[in-house]
Amino acid sequence: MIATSFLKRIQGGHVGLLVLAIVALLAIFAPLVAPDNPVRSDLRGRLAEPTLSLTAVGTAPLGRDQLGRDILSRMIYGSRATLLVALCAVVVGGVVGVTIGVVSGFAGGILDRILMRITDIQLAFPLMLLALLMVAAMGANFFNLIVVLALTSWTRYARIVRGEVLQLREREFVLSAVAAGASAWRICVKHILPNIMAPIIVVATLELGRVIVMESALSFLGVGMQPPTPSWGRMLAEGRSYVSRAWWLAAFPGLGIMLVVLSINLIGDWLRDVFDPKK
Amino acid sequence: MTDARTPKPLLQIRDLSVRFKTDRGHVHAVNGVSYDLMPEETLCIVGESGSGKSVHALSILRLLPEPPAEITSGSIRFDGQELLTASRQAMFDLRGNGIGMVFQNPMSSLNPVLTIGKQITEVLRRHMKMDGKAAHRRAVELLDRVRIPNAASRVHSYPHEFSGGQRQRIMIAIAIACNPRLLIADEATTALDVTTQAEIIQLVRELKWEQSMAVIWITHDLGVVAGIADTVQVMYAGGIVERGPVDAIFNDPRNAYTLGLLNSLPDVSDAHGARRSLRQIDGMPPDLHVLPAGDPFAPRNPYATQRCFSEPPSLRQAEGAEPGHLVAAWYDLRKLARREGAA
Amino acid sequence: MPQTPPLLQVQNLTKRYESAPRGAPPAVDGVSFHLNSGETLGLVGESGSGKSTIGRAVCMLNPPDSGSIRFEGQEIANASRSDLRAVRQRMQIVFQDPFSALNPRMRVGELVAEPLLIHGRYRNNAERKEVVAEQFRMVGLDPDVMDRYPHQFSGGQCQRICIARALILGPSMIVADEPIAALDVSIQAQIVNLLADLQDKTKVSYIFISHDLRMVQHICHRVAVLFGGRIVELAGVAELYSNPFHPYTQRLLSAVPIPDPARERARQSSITAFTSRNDGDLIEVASGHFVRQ
Repeated sequence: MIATSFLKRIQGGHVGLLVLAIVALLAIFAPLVAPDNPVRSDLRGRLAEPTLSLTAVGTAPLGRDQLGRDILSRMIYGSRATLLVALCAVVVGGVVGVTIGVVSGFAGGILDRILMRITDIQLAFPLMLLALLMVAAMGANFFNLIVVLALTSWTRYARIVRGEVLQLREREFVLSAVAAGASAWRICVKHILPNIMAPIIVVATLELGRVIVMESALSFLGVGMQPPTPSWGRMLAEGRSYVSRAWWLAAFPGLGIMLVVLSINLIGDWLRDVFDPKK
Repeated sequence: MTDARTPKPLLQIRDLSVRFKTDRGHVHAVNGVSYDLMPEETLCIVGESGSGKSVHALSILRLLPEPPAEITSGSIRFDGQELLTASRQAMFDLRGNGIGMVFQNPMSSLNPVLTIGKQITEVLRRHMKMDGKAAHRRAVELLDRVRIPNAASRVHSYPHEFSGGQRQRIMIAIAIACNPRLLIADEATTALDVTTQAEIIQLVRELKWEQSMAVIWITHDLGVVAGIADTVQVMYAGGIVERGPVDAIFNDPRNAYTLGLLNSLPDVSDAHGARRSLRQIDGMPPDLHVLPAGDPFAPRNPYATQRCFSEPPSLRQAEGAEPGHLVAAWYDLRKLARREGAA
Repeated sequence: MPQTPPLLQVQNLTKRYESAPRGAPPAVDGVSFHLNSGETLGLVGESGSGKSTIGRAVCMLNPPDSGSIRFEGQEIANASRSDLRAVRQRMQIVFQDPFSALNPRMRVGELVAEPLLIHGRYRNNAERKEVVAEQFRMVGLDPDVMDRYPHQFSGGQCQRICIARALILGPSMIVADEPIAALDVSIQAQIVNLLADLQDKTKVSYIFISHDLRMVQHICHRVAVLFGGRIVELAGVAELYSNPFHPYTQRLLSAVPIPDPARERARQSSITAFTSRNDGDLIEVASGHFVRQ
């Protein structure tokens, strides 16, 4: 039957993609979707319990936080910050990491050794400490947060990309391009990069998840997104002290993070399968 | 008047068909292959990629993963026993024991983390129920027989310590350890240098006589075939197109594909290295997803008749040829072509 | 007889691999030979003989450690990058595995056009497309397939594409490194015929590296036999095959199976392995026929 064959072909990756798409749409259309203003505090409704109903008037479906702000609206608006920061960090980290990996793998020799030492040093550095230091030195704002997250991310690309490039460098089609007189730039851009996109995309997808968790951790420590900008990590941090009295402050953002990261991991695994054995 | 008891065939394959399930449908790798192999006969199966030669050999020992492979019809009888319905245990008992097999790539056929001694004794202990000491002695004997120098000490070495040719000899040692009645070699010398190949072929020739084995030698190299075959079987697109005694096939080919293969070889006997064009076979092997209506070789066959395109020819005794020389063709090649430079 | 200078003159080419153990002989050890215009020189030998290494060294893909390579009168062994770039238009290489030699993510039309783009020829798109189409026709392919990807072709077709790409700049020399080894037997003849045709049409020279002694005899004018990184015998093809001097050459030729059952039965094969590396010099035993003592 059509239904069962359809159900058989659904994979984790499809589910992940669906969930992520929903979250992304909510983020983009936040002003239209959110029932309430995320920063409007209504101290009378402070720590209101979740009603889990979207139709009941005046109440918050996911409850209100310690300042009376609607948690659902904060979740919806917060997804913007969370996703945006993560996306930017992944892109910046990816570009830097891939460039270093390609240069290192292709050029070889001394340049390779220097770049790999730098990568090793970066990897040896405790991420949290680095983040805290940077924020302490440069202040905690959106831009700095992206830089910090990208810094902790690029090494993953560099290592993997370098490995792939080392292999690819000896493949006959690359040698063929060298024999035709192609410049190093042309070889890297036209021949090497398109053939390493698969592992890069897989790493990037998984990094997206990891960066979201990191951002939450940084916000938890107070060096991530600053109030009043909602981000899920921020909300988790603020809800920390209320866990016993008002579990919904921390639970929903926590669930949100978990759901998004799980979806991203499913997508990453699925992409790995898509790119691997078949052409 | 002699009471001639006709010898029973060692291997009887009837109407074997194998197909593979792929995303784009089924690939019909072997189509209705039937033949007999007599004890101590050396059969060379010649074909190119897509001919089905390797697939059908793997089916004999049920080494194809099922799925995606599927043996859709046929029977394979070895020494009277039907293999396609045999139990898993029966097949385990047969492999390496009644039938030995040697594959193409010696680099990947041996387990890199076990000593070669262990790999040989494993087979001996499993099938011949030898104890450790006896198995070890026999392993050294076998290595010696396949001419691995210093067998007594090399028996403790690992595969990576040997050259490609030596590894192939070790594979042969493992394959013949239990005195199988049939040895199947699938492109066993293709990956080796020509001098090493000559040595391996000589070794197999000797072993065949010593152990009274039948050999199925699968190759694409007609030179190798000329050197070892008693019978030659030419396969194309999953079927047998010609089969017969080796001299008959080389001197009196009746199938256009066989003729094409023979003609496309440069003739090394021509001492002045004639630089005329090789007689090539135009076109490409067919896509096995779709079984053609007639003779699969017809599109590339300059001698094809109308009937070739509409009706698949069956394998029959060739007219005016030696008994046992079978061909699948609607045309009569003798009238249409002449083998260039036939002996 | 006035002789035009050879197209390629290689002297004392030596190449050692860094990963090789100490004391091991170099992969290529003082090899010298020359190639004339419009000629096919065969390099034969078994695995480890150094023949592929020589091919790649001559193209400067794996530059030699020492020795001289004079191509069209110009020394290229230590040429500058820009000089080398200009030279690369004049020499090309075709590899063994046709699938591996084409970028799987590029269309075959783009792949064949790439050398033109690299060297700034035919900047006009339409003109360039026509030149590429002509190349496809020359190697027996329909130009309509230009937009397909390599995986959509068979091995033989991919090799034709590789040959088209190698010829598009009109080089005077092509190094063919086992160009037919990965192809089916019935396709090998097609490709060999194609190479011979193209040589007749364009007068390109080939260095034909192969272990297939039958094919080498068919397509080459002269043949060099390699063992242990050195040339042990070098002669015209007819001479070498009918009158081999060096024991290794003799052994090699005797090991080639002949597709003739009667003759195979009459032959005996030798079993002893050949291991000695002669340290003597290459001497000329007959005109153009050199043997290592």
